[in-house]
Amino acid sequence: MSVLQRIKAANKPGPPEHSVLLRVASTGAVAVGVAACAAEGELSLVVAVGSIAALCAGNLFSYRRRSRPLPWLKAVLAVVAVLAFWRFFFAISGVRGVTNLGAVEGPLAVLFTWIQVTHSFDVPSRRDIAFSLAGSVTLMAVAAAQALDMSFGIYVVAWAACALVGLGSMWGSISGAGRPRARTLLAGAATLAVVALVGIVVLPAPSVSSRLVFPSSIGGDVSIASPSALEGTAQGATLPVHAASATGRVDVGGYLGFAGPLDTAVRGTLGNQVVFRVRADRPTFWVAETFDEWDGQSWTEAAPEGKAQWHEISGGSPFELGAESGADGAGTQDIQTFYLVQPGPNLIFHAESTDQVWFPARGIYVDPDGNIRSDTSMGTGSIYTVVSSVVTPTPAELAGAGGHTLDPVNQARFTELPHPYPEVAVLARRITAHATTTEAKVLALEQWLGAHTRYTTDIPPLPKGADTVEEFLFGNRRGYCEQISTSLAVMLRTLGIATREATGYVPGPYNPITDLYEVQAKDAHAWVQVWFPGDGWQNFDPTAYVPLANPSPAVTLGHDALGALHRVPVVPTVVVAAVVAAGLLAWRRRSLAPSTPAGAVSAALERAARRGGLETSAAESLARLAARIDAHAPPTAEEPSAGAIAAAAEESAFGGRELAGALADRLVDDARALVRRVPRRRWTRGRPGAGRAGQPGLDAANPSSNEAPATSRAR
Amino acid sequence: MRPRGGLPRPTKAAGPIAGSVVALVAWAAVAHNSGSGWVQALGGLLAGFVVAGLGGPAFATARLKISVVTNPTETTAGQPVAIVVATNAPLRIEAVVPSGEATTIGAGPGRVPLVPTRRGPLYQVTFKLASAAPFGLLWWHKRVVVALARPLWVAPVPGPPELAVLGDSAAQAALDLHRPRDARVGEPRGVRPYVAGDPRRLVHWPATAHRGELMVREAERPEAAVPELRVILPDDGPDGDAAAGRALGTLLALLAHSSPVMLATTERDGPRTEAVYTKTDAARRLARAVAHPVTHPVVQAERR
Repeated sequence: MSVLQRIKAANKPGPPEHSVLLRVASTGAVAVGVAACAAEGELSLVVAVGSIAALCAGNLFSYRRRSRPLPWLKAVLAVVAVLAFWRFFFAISGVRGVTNLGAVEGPLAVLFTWIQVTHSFDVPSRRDIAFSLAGSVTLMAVAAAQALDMSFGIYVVAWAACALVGLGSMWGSISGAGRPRARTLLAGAATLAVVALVGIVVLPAPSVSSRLVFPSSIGGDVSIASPSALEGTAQGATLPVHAASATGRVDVGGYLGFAGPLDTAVRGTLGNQVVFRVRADRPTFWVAETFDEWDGQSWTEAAPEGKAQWHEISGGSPFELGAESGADGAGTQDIQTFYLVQPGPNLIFHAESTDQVWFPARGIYVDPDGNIRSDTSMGTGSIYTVVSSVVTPTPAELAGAGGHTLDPVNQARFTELPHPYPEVAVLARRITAHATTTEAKVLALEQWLGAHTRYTTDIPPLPKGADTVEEFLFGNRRGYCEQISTSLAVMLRTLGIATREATGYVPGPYNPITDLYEVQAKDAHAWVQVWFPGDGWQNFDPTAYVPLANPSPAVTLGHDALGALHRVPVVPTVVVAAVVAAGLLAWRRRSLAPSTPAGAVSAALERAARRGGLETSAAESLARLAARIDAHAPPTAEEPSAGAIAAAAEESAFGGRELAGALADRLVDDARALVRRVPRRRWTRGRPGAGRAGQPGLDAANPSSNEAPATSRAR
Repeated sequence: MRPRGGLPRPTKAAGPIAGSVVALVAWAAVAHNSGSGWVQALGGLLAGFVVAGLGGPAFATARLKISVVTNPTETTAGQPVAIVVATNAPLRIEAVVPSGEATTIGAGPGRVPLVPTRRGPLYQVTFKLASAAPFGLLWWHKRVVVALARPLWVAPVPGPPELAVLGDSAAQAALDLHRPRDARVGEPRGVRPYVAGDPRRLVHWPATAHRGELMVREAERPEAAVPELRVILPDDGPDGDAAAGRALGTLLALLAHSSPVMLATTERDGPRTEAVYTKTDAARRLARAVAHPVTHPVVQAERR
């Protein structure tokens, strides 16, 4: 067989596929894929709606022409497909390199949608439908690459259901068994769920290849008035400043740690709203700021003597920082991509020791301590990627730390205290009396804090001028993370150990489906960074050792329930509810529908009677009802009378001559035509059906015959 | 007899399995390096479809059950027959021994064609049952041996008549003598089935009513000779089938000139010598014939 013959054989149209369910399921799968792309911003709403409408029209056309395919149609569709490819290549011609997946995905979604819409006009056979079904996966994949939250699961479930029904129908069509059995579909669904779950559990978590161009974009780009200044968001220009106060607390972003000074005297109540999502190689503290200068109640950032606090790095994304980690060895590369869900300040969150920042700004500002700020504020939808070299020494390495030490200026800067703290120093020395290394001292102090203090945010603000550490350690020993971590930092400074206060977010809950850390507002945190010679700044979180103070179950449950309600995706939920409601209505309508031709005829005659204003009664026979209908609307010579239809139906129901196939269909069609034939009754005053004297139907309420009731028997 | 089944085996599995593995590995690689959890989860779902589509038919095939509802009892070798089977699930079925065309039937009764190629009784059929449930992505099959509802007797294909027998002078004489016999002459002997040419008045109505077929009175003339065909099969293999075919061809040639013909065969219960009147009788007898200890095939005709 020559190549040409092989090509012809491969393109030979298969036998026409008659399964409607298979076509509907296939169309549904593609439509869900298009909708998913639209939901993830890959397609505009207009394009998505138009594409879905065209898909439905195309499949309907294909179904009607399945046995008589148009020979010229393939050529037209091929031209359209070539145009779609041309448009795709034109769209990506300006994209820098094939590694920039983010820039390719949009045109790719348009291309796949075009191909599917074009193909939908020529799907006569099973093989063509299978192509559509398989092609819907590509649309789902493009959408999935952009999906960041669990609401995408609605589309996945809908697509899986369509694919399941479609494949089941395909087997039904192959085997001639017709519609797939519910038990088979359930078994298939269970297999899918188990294998997918096993896949998610067994497969290693996705990681971002360092060869790719990392995603970055700015939502609500607003330039900062004063370069390097810390300002609020595009939507609320002063959010960090007024985020929380003693008198007014807000939820999202209501954290004082993202301001110029960190005031430890007060803390806002933080909600469950997701602030941003992070795709990272490993969980870590996402650092926003570090503070070195402590005045007794607030932390501030101060530049080392003789150095500018902020210097600009320009040149465009990616920005090379080459941060001084302080570690002698190279760290482990950690790529973190931040997807902002809520507007935030112009801080660039990062893991320790940032090397590179992918951010579409003119420039970024970095201080000597590694804090990073952008020159624009960031709104919802902002995306940036940070590449860090994280040094994570083992406890043994920390215990034997030695090597690169801080210079005297910085040593003095990170051990400086506003006053001697004699009582704190005595306490710290007593706690660390048996500790010989820096790590042992830090751990001893953390354990003491865990044993002797309690965590709570439900405390009044400290009075002005009060020292946070003394109030916390020698007062009621109840406080929040800023007070606990500050106490540790001050105790360590009294021992001559270089420390600084850090604020940012803890990793937050990890979502194994999206492979993202979902950082919520309440994950805002403060902790301590301790300098270890040779290992650099290392994070210590004393709050993790501190138990909660008197948790309230009712408040906790209520808070959680409210948070869960907030997280429910509204649009997908409404769509699913509508689909379920429509399905239930259809099922109910189908279950109430007459199951036999005689029942259908009986129902039609009753509708005809009601249409003509004739009263019906359960005690009246079908024949008598038909006689009244004939009297009300006499049949023409060409039309079967209601009496004849009723007689056939009664013969079928009670005479042992059950109608089947075309005869039954014709009888039911005649009965339904009869309904349309009966003229509508003109409603007059008085009760329905109570016509004038002599009008047919007046005696309907008193059927005198003992024939079979119309409604109860024929059904 | 309960159907004896083998283990399910995939049919032409290399292509679908290799294709699926390559696709899933490629998907996993892209998903892993894209860093997108949803792409990976979608890949897990696809893996579910692949596992259910490629492995599910193994379970479906293992659970397939089949029995023969009814089958014809007689046929001729090489002629297609259809037997009615009942299955518990939709499947593709193909008779393997004896062979037949593959056909797809749903759950419940269905007709399966098969073509017996060997003469003799057929008590069981080997089927290849295949299923691609639940998705139709890959076929798995197994072989089962199913007992027929009734034995199917397969007559030989009529072969060329033994010219030597037909050309034998004695036999030719017998043929000449045994044109449709004139039963009016001779001593009454009994009744026999009607054959074309018998006078209408010879119909024996009581015997006809008793037998359910038209019977005529038969007279016996001393000089009347009935040709006797003795069939000795060399074996029950292909040589025996060929010999039986030639015997049938010869018998039909004899019957065309004279009826009845005495046919001597060996059946399972022993030797049997009995007159055959029609082609059907002849085919039935030769379907039941088995080999005689004599090893060389002999077809003899002699005057009786």
